[in-house]
Amino acid sequence: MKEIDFRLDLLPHKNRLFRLAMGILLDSAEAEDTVEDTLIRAWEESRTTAIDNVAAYLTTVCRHLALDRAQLRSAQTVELTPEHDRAEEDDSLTHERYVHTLRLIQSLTEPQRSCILLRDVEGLSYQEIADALQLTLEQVKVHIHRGRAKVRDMYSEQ
Amino acid sequence: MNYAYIEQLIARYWEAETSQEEEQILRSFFAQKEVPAHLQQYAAYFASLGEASEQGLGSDFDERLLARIGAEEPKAVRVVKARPLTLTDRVRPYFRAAAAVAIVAVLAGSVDRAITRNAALREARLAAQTTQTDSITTQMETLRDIFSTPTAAADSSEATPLPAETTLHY
Repeated sequence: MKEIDFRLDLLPHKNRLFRLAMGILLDSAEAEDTVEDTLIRAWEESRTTAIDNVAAYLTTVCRHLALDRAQLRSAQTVELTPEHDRAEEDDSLTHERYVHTLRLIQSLTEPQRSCILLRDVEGLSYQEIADALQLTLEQVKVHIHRGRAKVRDMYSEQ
Repeated sequence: MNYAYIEQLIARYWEAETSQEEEQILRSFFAQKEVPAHLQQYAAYFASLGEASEQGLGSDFDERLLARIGAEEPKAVRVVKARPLTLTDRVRPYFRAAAAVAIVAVLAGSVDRAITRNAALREARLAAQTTQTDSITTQMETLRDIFSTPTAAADSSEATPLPAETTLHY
């Protein structure tokens, strides 16, 4: 196992990790922080342990960190003023069409949401998704099938 | 224009039967501005998937992270640099050089010896042949000496005026 170079082996994943975090958090600043935490964690981990599949490892870490953040935020927003936070977030994002679609995908439950994000935004193969989410190939296919069916229903309702 | 291909791709997409390439075709198709009315329904969806796949982080992110890493990196590098050089470490290159020289010397020596042995063998054979010829030559020379001696004697006798000339004169 060759040594991991931050610039060559980790940094090139930043954009796809950002999109994954974005799909879960729908907040570019928080998504950016998540990517930063993911890359730094991978870097520190690689100093002591060999990472076999860097791409899958990063996806797994990024997804978990994003889910943790989402959970933390939903716990906080109950206490804070949710309308204000929402409105602010909407302001910065509503002009972008893709955010609308991300919202639809975001409303899916895990791991359907991650499967759809990795497939339809990142264009990963079913096998790559299975590796990153520690699912079987068959499970991934089922999640994508059900996730897309839900997205289609939501679109039809509009 | 016939959109049957795109239509069946969309149908298969919702059934999760499309390949990665076919899904890319869908995103590309809906990325164009003019989309026929009957396909408008999901146009925004596929187009936005394409837009979403182009999102990313700027180079300021790289710089910030590299700075963060860089702050930690020198420590690791310094540890490596500060490793005390033992005598063995210091002498190792010379050992290596010496070993290399030794190998070359041994190789050269064996090659040289092989050549020399060949040459010696050839010389010995030649010498053996020469001794044979030599002995013959010596014998012949001896014989010639023997035979030439009377001539020499005759020569010497020739040098002296033959008194017999007169005597021989009949």
